Amino acid sequence: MSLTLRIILLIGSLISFYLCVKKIKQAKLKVENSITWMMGSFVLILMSIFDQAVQWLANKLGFMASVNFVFFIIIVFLLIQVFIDNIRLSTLNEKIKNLNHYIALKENSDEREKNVKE
Amino acid sequence: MVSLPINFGLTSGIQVGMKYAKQNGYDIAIQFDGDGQHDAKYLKKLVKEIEKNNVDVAIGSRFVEKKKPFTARMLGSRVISFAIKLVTWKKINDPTSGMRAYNKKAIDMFNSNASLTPEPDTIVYMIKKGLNVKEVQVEMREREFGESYLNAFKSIKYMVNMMLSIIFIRTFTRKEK
Repeated sequence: MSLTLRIILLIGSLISFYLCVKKIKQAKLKVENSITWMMGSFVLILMSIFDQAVQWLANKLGFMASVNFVFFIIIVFLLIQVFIDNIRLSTLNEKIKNLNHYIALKENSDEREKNVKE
Repeated sequence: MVSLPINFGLTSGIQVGMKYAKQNGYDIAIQFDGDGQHDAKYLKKLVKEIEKNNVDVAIGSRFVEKKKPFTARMLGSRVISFAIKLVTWKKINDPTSGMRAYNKKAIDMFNSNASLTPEPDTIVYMIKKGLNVKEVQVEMREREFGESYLNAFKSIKYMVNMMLSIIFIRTFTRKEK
């Protein structure tokens, strides 16, 4: 990896690390949701510092250049993150739908009870 | 009338109806389009089918006795029919029909499985689960007001959805022992 890329990676991951901590402090991000981001940026920091280790591992795994290996790791990480978010979204959707149904049925039965009383 | 505070789509509307039917212990639930396409006089026919002939789901179909016309609109219907036949070995002539009647068994099914929609793949699911699905000849009019939720782009999306659901998901639905 070139020195420029290593510096960019280092700065980028430090910024994302900082943003995570800041958002948690502002209570805009839950700790359990931020763990993957923290881990991700931590791994990137390690990778930009220990260039030799990355080179060695990339070689062993058959990557043409160690940069490719770094990008590969980032892509895998993002895919996993998107998948987890998708599942979370579906669950939330289902929960909102059920709440919606509950409110509608409750209102309906309340209305009918009122009519019976009158 | 049950009215939902948030618009969550057609599927959600049907599901709340099914919940309502179960809570109140109804024997039969009817799915019916309110845009003037369907004629209420045929509902008796559907209900009779369930009461007399031991049918679990009755579908109001335009093409039991009549031939399906060769128009672009019916192309999708044909493809879905073919997919259903491939997966269940049963001929459903009008799978996209929105006029259906469900008995208690089918209502329970809707309540226990949140992935069921008022669309053709649910018919496949129910056939696979061993329910007796039957089509009844009805007439339908052109819609009087409102607009179909399917435009050109959406109908392609709809078709892809249906085919994926029927072929890749419902194929692996097994009857419980």
